[in-house]
Amino acid sequence: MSGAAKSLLGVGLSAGLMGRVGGAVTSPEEAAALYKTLVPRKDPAKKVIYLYMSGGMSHLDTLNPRPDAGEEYRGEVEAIKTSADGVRISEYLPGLAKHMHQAVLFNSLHSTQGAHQQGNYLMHTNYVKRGTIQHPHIGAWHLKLAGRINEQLPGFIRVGGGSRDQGAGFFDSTFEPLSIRDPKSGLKYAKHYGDVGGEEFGRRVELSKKLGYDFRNRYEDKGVKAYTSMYDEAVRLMKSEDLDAFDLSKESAETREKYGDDSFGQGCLLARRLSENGVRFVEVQLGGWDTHTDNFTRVPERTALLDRGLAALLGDLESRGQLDETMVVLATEFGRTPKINQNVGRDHFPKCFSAMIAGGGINGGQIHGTSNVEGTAPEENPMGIPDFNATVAYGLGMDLGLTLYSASRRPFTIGNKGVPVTTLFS
Amino acid sequence: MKRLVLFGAVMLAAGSAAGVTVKEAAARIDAIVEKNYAEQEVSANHVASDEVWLRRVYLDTVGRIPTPEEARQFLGSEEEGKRGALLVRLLESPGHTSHEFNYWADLLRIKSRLPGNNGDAAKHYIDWVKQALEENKPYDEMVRELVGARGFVAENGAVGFYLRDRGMPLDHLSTTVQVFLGTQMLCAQCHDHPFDEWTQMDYYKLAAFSHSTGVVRLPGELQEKVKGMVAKMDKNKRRNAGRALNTLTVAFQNAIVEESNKDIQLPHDYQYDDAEPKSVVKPQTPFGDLVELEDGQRKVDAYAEWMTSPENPRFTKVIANRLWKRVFGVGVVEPVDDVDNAKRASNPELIDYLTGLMTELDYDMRKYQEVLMSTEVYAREASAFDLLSGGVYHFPGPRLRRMSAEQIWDSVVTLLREDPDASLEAVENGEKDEDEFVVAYRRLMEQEPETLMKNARELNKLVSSSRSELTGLREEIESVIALKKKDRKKAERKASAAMDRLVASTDSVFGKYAKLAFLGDDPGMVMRFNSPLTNGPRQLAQRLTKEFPELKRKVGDRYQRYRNDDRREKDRRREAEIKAEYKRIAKEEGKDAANRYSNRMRFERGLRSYVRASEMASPAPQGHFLQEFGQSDREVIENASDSATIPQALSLLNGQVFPSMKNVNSTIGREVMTAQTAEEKCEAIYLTMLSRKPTVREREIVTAEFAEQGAGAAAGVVWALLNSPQFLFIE
Repeated sequence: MSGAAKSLLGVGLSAGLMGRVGGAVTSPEEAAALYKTLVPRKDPAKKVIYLYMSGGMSHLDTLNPRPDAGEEYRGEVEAIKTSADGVRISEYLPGLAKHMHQAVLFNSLHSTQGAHQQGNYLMHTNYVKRGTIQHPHIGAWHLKLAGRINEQLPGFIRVGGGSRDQGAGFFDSTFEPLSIRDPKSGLKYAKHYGDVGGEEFGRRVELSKKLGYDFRNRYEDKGVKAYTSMYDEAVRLMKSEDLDAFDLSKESAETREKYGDDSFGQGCLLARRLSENGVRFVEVQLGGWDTHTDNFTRVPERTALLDRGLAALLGDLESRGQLDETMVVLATEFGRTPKINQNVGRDHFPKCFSAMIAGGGINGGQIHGTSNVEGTAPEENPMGIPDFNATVAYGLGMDLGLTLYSASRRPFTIGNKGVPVTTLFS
Repeated sequence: MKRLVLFGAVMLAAGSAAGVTVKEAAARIDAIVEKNYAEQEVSANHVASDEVWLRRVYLDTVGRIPTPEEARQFLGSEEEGKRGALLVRLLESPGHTSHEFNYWADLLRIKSRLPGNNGDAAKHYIDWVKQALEENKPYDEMVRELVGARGFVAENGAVGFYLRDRGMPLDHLSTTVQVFLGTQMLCAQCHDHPFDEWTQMDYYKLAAFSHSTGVVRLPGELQEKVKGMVAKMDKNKRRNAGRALNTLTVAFQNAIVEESNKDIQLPHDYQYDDAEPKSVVKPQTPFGDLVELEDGQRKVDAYAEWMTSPENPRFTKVIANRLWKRVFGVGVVEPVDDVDNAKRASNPELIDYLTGLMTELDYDMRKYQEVLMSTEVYAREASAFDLLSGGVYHFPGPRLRRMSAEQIWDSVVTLLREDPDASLEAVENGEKDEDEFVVAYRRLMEQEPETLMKNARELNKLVSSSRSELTGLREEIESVIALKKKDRKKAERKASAAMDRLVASTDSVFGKYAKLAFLGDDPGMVMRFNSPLTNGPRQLAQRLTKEFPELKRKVGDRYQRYRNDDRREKDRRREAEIKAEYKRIAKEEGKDAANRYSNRMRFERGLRSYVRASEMASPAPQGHFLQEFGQSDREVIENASDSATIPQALSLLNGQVFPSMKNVNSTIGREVMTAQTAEEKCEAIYLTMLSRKPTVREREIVTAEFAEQGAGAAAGVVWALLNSPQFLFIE
């Protein structure tokens, strides 16, 4: 163990810390002390469906409408009642409103990262982006700490997504997400060419093994072995019954319709199928939230897709008895400027924004952390991104203080000094 | 100008080899390595066959497997010294530049898009690096030019080194020190280094050299003049002037690098006793020579001198060790970029000799690699060795390696295309016209500040009046589109009128814009360069032509960037050539031959995206083969991966590569087709894919397959070899 980690642990618990749950990010010493005494959650959520709104989702027009702010802030959006007493959300999300008793809103998030890539990186990895290392995605942490549920399927899958998303980071490549670009076409190249029937395929695989025999035996090499076993796994996956998990045509037209015909909606459906089949962590992305101009035309287009997919997902998880063991996270890199700009748009705003956790055993129907009237600053229970991620990680039963080292021997924890709001989980 | 530069490089290269011959140096290395065998009780591997050596040397020098023709030529040759001759030829070929570029793109994290620049800044940087490698610019000179880079990216592509990390000067320092000095100081960015001697103060003192070098809006002198002029204005006027100047220079934003006189301050939460938070830090080096700044010397030049000085204990050793690792698969010192934390060199005498050799060769990287690949150690069979095992490698031969993503891709290209290097030559031959971007830049920056300011103000007015005009047009266009459902005829008439207005407005505005911002006559520059008006009119035109396609002819090429035009023109010409050739063949050789030709051309067209990895976007797009096989995303130094993944297996088992290989027009397809007997076909497949003859056992298996399956067995054998891990490894 390194000197750095030891010195962090050598400091005593500071007074009053334990009462400050959900407060601002603590010092390394306080965090280490907190993590040491924190008992991991019993019966945690097993799986995650992580919905990422890429580009910066306007908090005012979605989860945190500000009806009492001036029109130059609230714009054209009304707040509507939800299935949870006293919780109101934007009229753009009527489907989600029916599930609000299953969800907790976090309306006091704040960050210092006002650029897309940096903000996106921080939300996904819980660390500030550096030019010198790559931090693992929270899904990679989850898989690393909890392991696979279904050995036949990859444990971490991403649907949609931008060109450069976080993955295994400094973990080894088995924690890299399997990337599905188009949910409708499923897993790329999982089917063999048409002109080769099942028997023919088996024959060729055998031939390949025979011809590779000398080479495989010539070297006692980890890389060569990895390829041998990866081919076995790929062939197993190709033949696996569970491959159907990737195939949306197995769903009824009615169900597919319910989620919406777009990539995000179908991605949510795919996520549900994968999750049901024992994939630990599935991320689905919805882009287009960077509404610098025409906010009130473009946000409703996004929310229409989000609301449809998310409501269908929560409804299905509930009716199929999966919601308690599956945590659904809704996150984004930052909010948008509460004051509407001259192009009827909203610009980047990391000082105050919103996210949501539903299911996974969270005590839904409440708001944790509020903003001021205009949505320009956190008011009650301000939360940094590490606090939010620590809460997710706690809900998943992870050991927040477990230190893992990069190849360059730098120490990292999934908590990264964030303070989890443990009281949200019973 | 290009020729002059090349000439200079040839002279240098010739001068550098004077002291020591390749043969002597290689023999010396062999002696040092072998002496160590005895001490470590290791024995040398067997000498590798010509076949193994051939495949290895192609992959290590030009980044791909040899074509069957190249393999036949070498293996069939009885010539004395054929290995040395081939090695030199390969090192001097365009393929070598391509292969080296992939390596440096990974080390320098080169990306095809630079932050905040929509133009060609990244391309200029990429071209600069390729050019430096092609000229075989001495390594120390290359590093000095990168670290000390200044100016406009289209004139000096090396400034891309700073543009790459715009707004992140501290991270930039960490990576620079890690790449060139093999030292990891990044922890000290935020606190004293927990393992090493570096303090946060050391870090800031070193950062003080390069921190003030970064992106500026106007080049040095002009900036000063403008500042002087603006200083006299009142606050409001000053702000407007700043805005106007920004609009004027928007085409050149994030493209100019200069050193400013900005100081670096300690962070607000600096926690140590030797200084107050936020106090200013003066530049000082943490090791090597102490640097005294001379009067008028740029800090960054002093820093570059210090870094690349032969007296710097790390600079030469790091590159000597890196390139050794590149050739043999393991560094003499590991890890290569954390020399302080490295285990003791596996062979101290060897790393000392290599360091001296690099200096003696005047940092000639090509010659240095020639020496390494001329050793007997390199000519031996490979051994398996796990880099992360904690063990020590004593070089009984090179390490068995998985090919890099780029090597795999480029080898696939070799299996498919008749000339796998065609894409490289196209780049070499593409002589650039005098760069109009540079001309425009110079013209603008040569103006007196008063003229600039006048132009800037007028341009600002032009932009805002054009914008309100566009807003009006947008409303008009939307209403026309809304009308389309109700009264098509009327809508068409109105649409046509709207398009006329849009086009007329564009021509007038673009013409004025080009005069003010680029001091030129060509309105097309507005589309070719970055401007606040590049997108608006085009989008409106697209909106309208989507609904009324017949209006396309009114648009013409007004909203095209010329590069697309260029390509389209080239394609047109190529199509015409193919048609003519088809006719000729049909007439002279008959219909069948013409059809074969046409099929081949169709196949070639289908492979248009199969160019060498170095000629593609850096990094390759999401989901591309290169990415699946672990190409670095070029976010972090040496971020490539050689791990096995499921998508890799699926891609080779079921993806697009195999069907192309089966086509008779591919290199491998042609080889298989030309071969007559099962025996010959088997040999052709092995030679093309693995550059060797099949073993007796392999021959038996394959001929048995042919006996059972007939001629169709060939495809199965090709597929089987593509999916046997041997293809992916360098023995």
